[in-house]
Amino acid sequence: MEQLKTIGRELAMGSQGGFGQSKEFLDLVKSIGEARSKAEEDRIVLSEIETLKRRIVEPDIPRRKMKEYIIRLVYVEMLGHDASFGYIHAVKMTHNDNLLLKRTGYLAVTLFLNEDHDLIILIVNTIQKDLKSDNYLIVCAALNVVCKLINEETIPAVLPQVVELLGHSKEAVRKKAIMALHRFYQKSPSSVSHLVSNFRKRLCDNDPGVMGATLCPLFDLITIDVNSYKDLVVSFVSILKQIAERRLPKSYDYHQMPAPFIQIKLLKILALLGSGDKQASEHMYTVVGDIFRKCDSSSNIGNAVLYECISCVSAIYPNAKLLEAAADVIARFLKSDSHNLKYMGIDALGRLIKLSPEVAEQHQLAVIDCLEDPDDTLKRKTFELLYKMTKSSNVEVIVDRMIDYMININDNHYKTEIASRCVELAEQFAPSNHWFIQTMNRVFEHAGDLVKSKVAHNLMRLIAEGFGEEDDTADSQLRSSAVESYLRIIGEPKLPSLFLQVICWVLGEYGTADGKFSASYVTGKLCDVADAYSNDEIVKSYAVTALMKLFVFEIAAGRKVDILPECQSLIEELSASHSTDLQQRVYELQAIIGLDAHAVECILPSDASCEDIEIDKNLSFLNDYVQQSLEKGAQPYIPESERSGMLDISNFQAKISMKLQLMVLVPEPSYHREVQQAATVPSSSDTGSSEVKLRLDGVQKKWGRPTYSSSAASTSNSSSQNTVYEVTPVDGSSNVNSKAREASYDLKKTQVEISPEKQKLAASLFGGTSKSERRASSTGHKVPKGSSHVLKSTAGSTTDVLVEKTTPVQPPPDLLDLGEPTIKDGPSSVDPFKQLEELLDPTQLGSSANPGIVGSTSAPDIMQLYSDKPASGQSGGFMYPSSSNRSDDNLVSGLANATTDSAHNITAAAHPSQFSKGPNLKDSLEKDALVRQMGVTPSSQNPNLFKDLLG
Amino acid sequence: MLLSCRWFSIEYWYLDSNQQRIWSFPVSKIVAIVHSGSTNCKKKIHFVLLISRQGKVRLTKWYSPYSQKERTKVIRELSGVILSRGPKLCNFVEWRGYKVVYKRYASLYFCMCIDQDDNELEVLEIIHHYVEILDRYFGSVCELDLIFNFHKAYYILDELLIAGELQESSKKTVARLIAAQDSLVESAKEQASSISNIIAQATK
Repeated sequence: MEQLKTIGRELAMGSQGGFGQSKEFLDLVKSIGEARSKAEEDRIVLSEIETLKRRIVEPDIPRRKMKEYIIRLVYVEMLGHDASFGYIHAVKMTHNDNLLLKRTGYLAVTLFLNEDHDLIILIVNTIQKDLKSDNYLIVCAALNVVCKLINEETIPAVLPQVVELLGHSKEAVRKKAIMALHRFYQKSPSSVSHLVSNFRKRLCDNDPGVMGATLCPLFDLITIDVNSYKDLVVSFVSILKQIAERRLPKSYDYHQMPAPFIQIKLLKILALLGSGDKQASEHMYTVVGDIFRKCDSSSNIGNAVLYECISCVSAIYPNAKLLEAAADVIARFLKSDSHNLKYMGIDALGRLIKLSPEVAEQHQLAVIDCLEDPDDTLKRKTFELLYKMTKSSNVEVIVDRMIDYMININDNHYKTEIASRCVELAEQFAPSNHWFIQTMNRVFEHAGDLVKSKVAHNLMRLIAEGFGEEDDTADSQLRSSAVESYLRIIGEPKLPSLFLQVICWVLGEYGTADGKFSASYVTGKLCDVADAYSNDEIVKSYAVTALMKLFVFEIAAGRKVDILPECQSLIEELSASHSTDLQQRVYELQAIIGLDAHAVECILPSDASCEDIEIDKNLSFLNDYVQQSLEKGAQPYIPESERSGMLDISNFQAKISMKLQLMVLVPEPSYHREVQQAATVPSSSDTGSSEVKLRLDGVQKKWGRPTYSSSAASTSNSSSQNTVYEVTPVDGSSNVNSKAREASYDLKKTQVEISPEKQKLAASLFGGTSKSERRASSTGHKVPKGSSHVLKSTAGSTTDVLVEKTTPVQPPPDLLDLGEPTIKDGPSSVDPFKQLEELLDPTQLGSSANPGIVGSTSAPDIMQLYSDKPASGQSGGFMYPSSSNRSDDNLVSGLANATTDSAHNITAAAHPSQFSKGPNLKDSLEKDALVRQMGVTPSSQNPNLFKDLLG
Repeated sequence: MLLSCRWFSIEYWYLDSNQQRIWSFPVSKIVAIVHSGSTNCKKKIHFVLLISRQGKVRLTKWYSPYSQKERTKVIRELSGVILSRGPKLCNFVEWRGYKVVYKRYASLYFCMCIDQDDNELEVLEIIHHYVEILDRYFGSVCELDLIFNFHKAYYILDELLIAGELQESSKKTVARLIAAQDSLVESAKEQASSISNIIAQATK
């Protein structure tokens, strides 16, 4: 009898007991759930893999068993282990005719394979067949796989069927076919380019779901080519209007909002279409304004739509009324207590700031609060906003803050980003040389290894070029302040390599230029660097070249070169270096020191790094030599294009000798200039190449606007930089700042709770328009409203509603409150879930023998045990341990309810709304009992396993 | 194409009450536009992760290609970042140039990775939408349901998102499809269950 019982239970669980899997699998999940460490978990999974490897190849596995193996493979793979040995079995399962197995197979292959896996070829045939199936569920399953797995090569195999399915009678199929076509378009636009019109057709599908899905491909198409879709503006606007007017079926409502996800998608599309197009934008104003008004700002989804409206308004051709509405919403976001809304507010502010900069000033204190918030995400977003609103008047404060923040983070990705932003801002808006050099030093010091080498090259060039030839004093000031600060910094330990390269280059070029420092002092420092970073060859190369330049300048100036002993030993050491590049440099150094002043000046002229070097591409200086050789009987050079296919040995030899000659007879000056650069482009020692100068084409010009400079335009650029630079001090940042500061002190009297430091910060960030700022912040919350009143008089009743609607503050949105929406659709819907729930209604609990009930053969038994006290003796092996420490509230209350069985029934019947929220008590009871029966207990590690996700 | 082509308007495309269409705009008139050139289409959602508070993986779905190694790394990195965040902070995390939107339900974290310039609040609601559907399906869903029925959670996710895009925003439609699929499964199982019931009855 006992045995039979066990078999029965096993069978029940194996086939359809609570969770539909075998004991074995449940045990696996359970043991993984109880694993205390990652290592233990890995051990369990590995032994599971062994088991599966053995079992899965056994002959004649029952289909149900096979399905479970596949699911176990999915589980193993999900936990991050390799289950590739079983992929082929999953593929085989897709060939099965049984939908249940096919579906499992398809699920597994979509999870296992990526689109370029070899096994895909084995599935394509099945997919083709299934796409033609008359069971729409099979078609759906196949389309799901198509979206994930079909690659460029296999698109043609399924394309005709997918296109045919666009006209399928089931909307689910049409929807998936659209998505599949969209995927094809993403993967290989050319293969489906002739079918793009289908997306337009499907836009007027009579199922809103299909229409909503069609918006995804249309969004992509419009992103790429706006102009071809301008004609659809009217259609999109009218769809959006209909949605906003709740003409869509109620089932698309989400938290009382009509089809918000479709609204958002449409707003995104409108933003693309209206961008920079006044005529198109004019169509949108009314509907966007309507949505602003209608949106329920108390729910999260309402705010999501509002945010999308702001994005749209800031993208399309500006409209004063809408901008006003957007500013109101932003004010509400920023004043909210929710971090999410603040974040969105900051983001929206960043979008709107281009159109109406004055909005930022209204919210300066909120922005500063966000900047000082402990939440890192919010802080970063705020930095992004500051980056967008940087001007010459506030650049110092903003960049200082950014660097302070940069120093304290570990996330390299973000550090790189913020460092390059600092550099960019400093280059664009730097108020003074000194500040610029200091700022760059800090950035390099703390994030030197993360910034791009371009930035370093740009800095070198900036120091070399200065601001143009007209203003030599400013240039030399910049250089000497750079040299001074570098000589100070150079002694610090562990400087980033890139920064050292800059330092070496600048010291070599300008170390002794202003005569403040002696050559021996600077060379000593350079030798220290080469010693301290002995395993960084690039830095050593830079140092050697810098030494060479310093010596050469000394010789040229007619002074005696005294090589320090440590310098001498460094030279000797490096002349035996493993790096040929270093050796070469050292030998050149030694050779050059021996030359006289005149020769040396030709080789390395002082401060000429910016001058263009003419390259004689025809090598005309070799003509004499070549002529001589020819006269001596050498073969003439035949260009490669004119040579015959046959290998002519003598010709070849001549070529080689020519090449050798070329290498020997490199023109000295240009060669050495090159060496200076060789460290950055070590392979470029070919004189023929034209990249003698630093390649800075396309690098953003500093001091000027962020334009791309062409290499040829360097002179004209430098003059324009100069003008920009001269304008900056006139801007009078200090002047305005102090005024702003005064203003903020006034403000302090009215708003005591705001600290003076914050005020100061606000003033320095938002300064420059101190007048409007004072008004804005002192009146605080009133301002937006006041302005909308002004608006009201012009716009009439529509804005009136807006003001009224926005003022009452509703309680914060409760995301977890599922109650209301479900109650709402509950009675009217013909919902299969509902039907399921009804099946489980307490009145039917007595009839445990009902075979139709899903997964309840064992569960109702337990229910009976609880409702029926005297019968509890029968509970046998799986009796509930009533004294165990249960943390589950549901369960406790469930027990309490269940003892008064009839009362429970009555309350349940009297409150159907409670039931529509899910038959909580009963469900959790059943579930709990089931899993306990299977041996899963909530341990201290996972105490919340039973807790309802939405409860 | 000229902007003045306003012959199509799809006004009154749905009726309020009975959801009947009066008329749609003439499809035949729509001009096909041939497209060429490469795309830089962005994917909306790059991956979906369900992690428990202890950092255990409950479900993963990758819409962008990641190798198994990368996946493990992503999960490790993200669970480190997300699980350590306080309850009052934003539900968004910037990560490797992407944004991860997460939400905690009981002891489970639902995470979705999106592009930098996407609407975070919307994604937060997509997560909630998914959870609501799960809740309906399982009847007050709890973590345990997802542990043992992760494949069902996958099926539901597949009806909600396709290739990283939201394909269906109606709860009812998703529920209907899943139920239709299940009913086919149920009929296949019926036989097995009746046998087990007989045995269960006999052993009582």
